[in-house]
Amino acid sequence: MTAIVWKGRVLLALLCTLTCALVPLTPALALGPAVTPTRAQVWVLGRQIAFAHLGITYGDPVTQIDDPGLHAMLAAVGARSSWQPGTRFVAITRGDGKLITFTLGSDAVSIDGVPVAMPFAPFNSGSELYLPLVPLAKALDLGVRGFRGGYVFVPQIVSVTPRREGSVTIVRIEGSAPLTWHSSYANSARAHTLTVSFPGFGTDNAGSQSIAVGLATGADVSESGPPGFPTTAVSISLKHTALFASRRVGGGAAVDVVIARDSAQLHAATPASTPSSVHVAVTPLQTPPSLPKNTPAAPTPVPPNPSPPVEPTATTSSPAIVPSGVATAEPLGAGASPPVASSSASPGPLSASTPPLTTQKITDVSVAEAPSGTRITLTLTGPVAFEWHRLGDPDDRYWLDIDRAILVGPAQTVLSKLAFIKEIKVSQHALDPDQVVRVSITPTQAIDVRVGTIAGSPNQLGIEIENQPPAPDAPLAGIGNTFVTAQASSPPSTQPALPARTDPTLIVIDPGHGGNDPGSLNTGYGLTESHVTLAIAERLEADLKHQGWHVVMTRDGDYEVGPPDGTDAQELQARCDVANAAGARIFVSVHINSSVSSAPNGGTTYYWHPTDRALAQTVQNDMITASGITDDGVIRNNFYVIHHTTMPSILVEVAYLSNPHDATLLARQSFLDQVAAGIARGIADFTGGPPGPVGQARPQHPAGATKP
Amino acid sequence: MAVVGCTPKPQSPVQPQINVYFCKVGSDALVPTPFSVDKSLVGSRLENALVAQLLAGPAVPTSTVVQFPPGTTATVDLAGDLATVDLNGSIAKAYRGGASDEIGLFKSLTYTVTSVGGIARVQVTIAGRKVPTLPGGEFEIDEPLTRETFAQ
Repeated sequence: MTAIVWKGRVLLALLCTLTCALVPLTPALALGPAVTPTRAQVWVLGRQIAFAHLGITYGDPVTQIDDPGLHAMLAAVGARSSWQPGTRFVAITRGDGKLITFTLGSDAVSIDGVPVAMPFAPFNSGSELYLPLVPLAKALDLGVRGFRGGYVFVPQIVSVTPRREGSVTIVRIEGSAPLTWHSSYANSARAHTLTVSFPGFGTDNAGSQSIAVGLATGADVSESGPPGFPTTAVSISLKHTALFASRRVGGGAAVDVVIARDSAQLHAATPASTPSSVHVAVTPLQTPPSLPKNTPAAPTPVPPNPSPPVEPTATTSSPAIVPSGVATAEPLGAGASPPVASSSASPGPLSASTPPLTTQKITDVSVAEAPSGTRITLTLTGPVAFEWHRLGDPDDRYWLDIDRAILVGPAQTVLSKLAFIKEIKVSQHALDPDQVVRVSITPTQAIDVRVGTIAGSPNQLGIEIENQPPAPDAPLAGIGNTFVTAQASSPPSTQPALPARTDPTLIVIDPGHGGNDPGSLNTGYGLTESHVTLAIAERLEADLKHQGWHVVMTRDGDYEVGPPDGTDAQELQARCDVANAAGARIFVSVHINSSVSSAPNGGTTYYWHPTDRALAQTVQNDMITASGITDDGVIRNNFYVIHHTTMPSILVEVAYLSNPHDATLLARQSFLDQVAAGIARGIADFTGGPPGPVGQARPQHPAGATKP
Repeated sequence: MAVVGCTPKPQSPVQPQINVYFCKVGSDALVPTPFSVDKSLVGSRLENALVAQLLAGPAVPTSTVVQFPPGTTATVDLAGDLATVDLNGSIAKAYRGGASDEIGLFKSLTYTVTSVGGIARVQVTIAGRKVPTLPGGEFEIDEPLTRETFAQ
């Protein structure tokens, strides 16, 4: 057996100078080294992670142990942290069982029991414990890439190991984080190549190697794409045409590519009796069109879009729901026992904006009830996107629309024995032009509802209804899709799920445009939209902080938020990701309008989700009052950033750059200050301000939700 | 300016008329403008003529309606109730207009294309590719647009 194994830990081990680091060398000091706040960007798996408290110490990035950004970073690679205030040890566990231990005051990190030196030790600054980020990333087998003004931590493809098992060839590809992959198969007259691509993964070991094992003759590993979101491709050269399947192994951080000559061998090698190793035919065999006529018949192709093999497994409790677009993620209590479907691979890009490619069917609706709640499980033929809305008191209704979905069979009224549920309906809400299946829940009292794929079963969408009111600041609407959560569900269900819990104190401000995209221009007044939006956003940030909010800016300079040389879609999605990953309470995008005509003037606030209209109207009113700009009203329209953020979101078009009067105003800092003050006041009026200290009630304002 | 296939004013009672919708600047108000079209134009040829007229602007030039950037070209293909409009030229490189004009462009395009019987949805592509927004734009176009898209 030939193996190509790369272990990034070797380098770290060479750096090890201490033999044991589990005993702290120095007691914690209340006054640690200086932490200089920074707005440097941090990227993990192509996702910008928003840190609330990112700083620089001794030239390296550090963050607080309880920073939401750190939790999001760990979750992105299937890891979680465990730390109790007042203790010295921070344990970080990864889905595959890897254990990383930081000790306060010790400049060595323990990686699976092996101490590895760090430039400096975790430390206390004031009452907060800070961890160095780069050693943490390396301990997690993340590559550290250079990036202007920030840090890019890229999971690695760490090994490619072929072996032969009977008549089939198996190539195991291991990564440093839960894998998502695409497979493709190419035949030509002289070459047969199976390529498995891993979006978001890099490699420091690109190159080709001969591997004469079974049907495989060689492997080529290459990396492409931007440094912030590279793709590593493993191309396996084959002796001749073959069938293949891929199966997730090793807690999700490895994939076995099973290669066989025919379907009988393939199925024999991937027994359905092993639920964790169910094979999925990612791509049907492409019979080469150039085959000569006397070539023996190609093996039977695996049918496209095969029905996922389902292996019902006896279980006494429900698998966890991996939420999508919602804020909480605890599994429903024992007692509800929906069937557990086998896991399948989740090929597809990681972008949260990726829509499902085709219409999917809902083939089954089942209900499992426990005293504390109900779970509705919808079985799907593939990934779907959905949108949910909740009406507050007194309606307390909830509905979820699944896009591009066809309900197989008639509309259903789900019967529930629970007193707090009046009615649940599943129906084909629309067929033309859009296919929408609606799940409508009418309770008898306030309920909390969570939506997401069921852990380990990305083709099952779970809706959990709990006998308790939602949090006072819970969002009234959200979006999600099973495409993304399918990836998040790969690691064990004990890990925290994305997105992070909503931070009720956090506002994300998005200054429109920037970098290569200046937006609208008024050369006569020397105005550039991207500069004006940043000026307003900076003032707005100051005003909101003065109110007591935490604020994250999607950009604080003249640059793109997305990956370098990224696409427009990546740029817009990156701005959404900042807010979604941070679990922001409210998202505000600031823009300046423009027209081919110099006549239009005034300010407009846009919203998309109907439940965001009240926020838009409140901010619009206060902005108009504060600045005196002409009121062009609030308008519902489908702008990307207010569609793909999962919290109340608005886009403010402050004034017209193309109008001489407005342009005169926009050139004055005092006007920009007034606009910012008005937006800040609108947010305060809508929310009642940031939450006060624990136990202190904060004023509540009606959300003003509108019925559909 | 009128393009081939479209005549600004009705010329004969038997010549079919159809609306090209322009959008007023600074608002989302539509300005339906009837054009007589050649009887020989049906299907995608009719749609291409209408979109060409939309891109060319009103018969009498005016600054009161939103217009596609000069140099924008378009081709229309039909499949069932879906019209795919591929935009090319200057608009495919970078959009530097504002939000209200951007909405106006797509609203006028959607209303114009769906003014032909049997066409209800408009999928916009840019230089042959389905994209989430115009380059530099904000308005989502990766899903087919309908008249309902613009309902408040």
